[in-house]
Amino acid sequence: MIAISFDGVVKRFPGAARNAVDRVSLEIEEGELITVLGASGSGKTTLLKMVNRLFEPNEGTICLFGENIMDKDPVKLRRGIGYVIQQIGLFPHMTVRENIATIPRILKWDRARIGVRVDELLSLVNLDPDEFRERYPAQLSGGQQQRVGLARALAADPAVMLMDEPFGAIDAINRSNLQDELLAIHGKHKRTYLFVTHDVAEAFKLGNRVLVMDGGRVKQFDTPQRIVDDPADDFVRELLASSGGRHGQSARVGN
Amino acid sequence: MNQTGLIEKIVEYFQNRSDVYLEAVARHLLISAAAVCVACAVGIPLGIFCAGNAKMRTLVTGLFSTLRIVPSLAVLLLCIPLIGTGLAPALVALSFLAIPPVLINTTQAFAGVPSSVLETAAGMGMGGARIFWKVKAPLSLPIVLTGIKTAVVEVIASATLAAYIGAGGLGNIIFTGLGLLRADLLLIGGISVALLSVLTDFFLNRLERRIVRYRDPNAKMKTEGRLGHMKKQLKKRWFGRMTAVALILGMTVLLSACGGDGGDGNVSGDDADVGSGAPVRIGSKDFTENLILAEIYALALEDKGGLAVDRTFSLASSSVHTALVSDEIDLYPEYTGTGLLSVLQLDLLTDPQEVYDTVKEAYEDRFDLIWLDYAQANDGQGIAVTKAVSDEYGVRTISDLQKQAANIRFASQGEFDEREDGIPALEAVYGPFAFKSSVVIDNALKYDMLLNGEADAAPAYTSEGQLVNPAFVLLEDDRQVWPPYNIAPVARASILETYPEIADILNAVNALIDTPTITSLNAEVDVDGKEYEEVAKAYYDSIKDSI
Repeated sequence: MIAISFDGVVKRFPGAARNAVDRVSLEIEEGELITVLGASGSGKTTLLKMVNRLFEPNEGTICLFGENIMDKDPVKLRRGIGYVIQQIGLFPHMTVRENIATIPRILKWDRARIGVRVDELLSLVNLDPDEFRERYPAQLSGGQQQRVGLARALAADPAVMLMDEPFGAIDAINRSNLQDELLAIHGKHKRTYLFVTHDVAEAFKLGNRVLVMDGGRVKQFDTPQRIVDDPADDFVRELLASSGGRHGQSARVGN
Repeated sequence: MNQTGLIEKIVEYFQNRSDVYLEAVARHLLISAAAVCVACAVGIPLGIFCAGNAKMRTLVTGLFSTLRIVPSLAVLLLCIPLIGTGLAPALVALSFLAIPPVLINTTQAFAGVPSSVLETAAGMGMGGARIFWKVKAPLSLPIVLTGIKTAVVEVIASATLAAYIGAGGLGNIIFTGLGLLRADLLLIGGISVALLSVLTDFFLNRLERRIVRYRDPNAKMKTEGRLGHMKKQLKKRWFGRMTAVALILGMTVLLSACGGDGGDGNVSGDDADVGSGAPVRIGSKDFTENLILAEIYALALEDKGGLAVDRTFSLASSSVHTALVSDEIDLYPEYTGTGLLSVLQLDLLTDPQEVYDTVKEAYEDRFDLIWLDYAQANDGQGIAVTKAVSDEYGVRTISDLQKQAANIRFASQGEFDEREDGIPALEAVYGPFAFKSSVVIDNALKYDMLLNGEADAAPAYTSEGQLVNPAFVLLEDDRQVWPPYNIAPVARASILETYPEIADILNAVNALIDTPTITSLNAEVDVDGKEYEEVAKAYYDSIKDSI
């Protein structure tokens, strides 16, 4: 089943010289983990934020599981979509448990179910529930905070997860562990993930398909292997060269 | 005033007047709380609005930061023509004072909620209202509370001034103390305000710790330095409070010292004995009537005596006698009752001639000072009521007032309630005065209050200029409680020996001055706004041929 489809999507910000996202059409199958790779200004974050309607397209349609997202109430739409960003954005005045329980509470789950779910999620992101449940975000390291951010996004078991450079501010060792854990979580539950990054190695490590963007347009959208074997154009070729290929060192687009 | 006497007086005050004290504290807290509530009701919504609107933010915070510079006393006085005296203008002024810290902190708090937190809140499916109540409000609360605390502390300190316009509170005790130069009242009032301020800050801090479970989310993780800084700031604040308390204490001691031995430094004069051709040094107290009289005396001596006159006017009432005794002035207009009760501290007498004879003899014996002849003019204690109330309840005398007290709203200037020759003296003779209501107000505002219909009766001096207004009726002291305050020049014996003509000239002038005369002269200055020199000159010109 098609989880997410873009059809002729254009996003133009007021006063901008060109379209931030320029006529993007593509389809994502349910259960895929798509990485969106691009430099700053490539339109990758804008593309992501249109899925949960933090931005709205000027042209074209976006459908989730066949339904046009513009036909839905944005607040309700978002409750079915997990959202993780680089700055994490945990609520500093709430404990880890309260942060994770935010959406289940809004959805009026009963207490026992929420309690079970919080512990389950903490275990899933490799945090000991007894140790971390009642801590405040300020008492966590950056890596631990992002694990909680991920757990919070997963709380209501959303069909789609949007992740905007979630590991961008985390040190290399922790980032690598988090990437492995994310792959494990994705493997277990087979939800659809859209993962924005400017790290070529991360994009190729995580994505079963990689969406390469530049200047608001899709340069290539294919499996890592086929991008390596058959780069669509010079931009993609240079990107691969700069990173030393799929198994090379971590490299960042445009840096 | 020695230390033990002061402490005894304070103890005595708490034994006898604890009801008055507690009422003042309660009133003070009530005014402060009401002002802070108003400030929150205005400042918090406005602050939230400003946080979301950069232009409004610049405009409104700029405006209120500027308003903060305006002294609260000025705001208080500006309020009087608009909303009269009493509680309402005090509340307006104090609210104005309290709004800026609440508003500015609210704006900063709401504008400072991290955008990443708001973005994930929206992204995970929280609606606008939910984001406001569950995220923005709790995250802003600590900073808003800090603003409220600042407002509370400022308001409690400034509410003292509210007494100035009749709103009551601990300021009453302080103003009464200032009026009577009573260090015990100043200490009680001043320390109570300081304590209230420190205590409320303490309780608000505890309350804050209960409501706000986390403080700065970054403080613990990022650096210890920041915590250290916060502690330092706390220490600084305590230091500031303690300095304030020490200052109040110091000022009180200073004030009581000044009251005790007079301000010699105020008097500029020639220490040398008056020789031939030396000027006559005339002093005066610091209020209209005494200034006019001193100027009339001066003009008469210049004109009729051909003498040179040195004017050393506007001395504090408490120091003018000292100035005369210590040979810094040669004469000044005094009141027989003041000489009897304040200077000589003798028992109360009510017959004018008896009072005059007593003070004349005692001054000559004790100070080598001579009372010249006294004028018919009597600037004594009195009570004025509005014409309307006088007519409605048939109040002409103080006995009438006592009978009708339950219908009368009394406006006191504080010291009148406490002073020996004030209400206590009246009650001893006429019986209790159970007024319908009683407010304390600055002496200068009492006639405004009567005219505005905000009070019906007020203490008055029998020759006050405002009494020429037919809207007021001066009550007759029908049972002679109050001593006479006849006007007479008091002079050093030596100057009268040097210039014997002084006595004749001033006696001739004084013989012409009766109560209606001096009242109308006072009115020209206090009601019509003329200069006292001008009024004295015009009057002197009108009488100089009959001297």
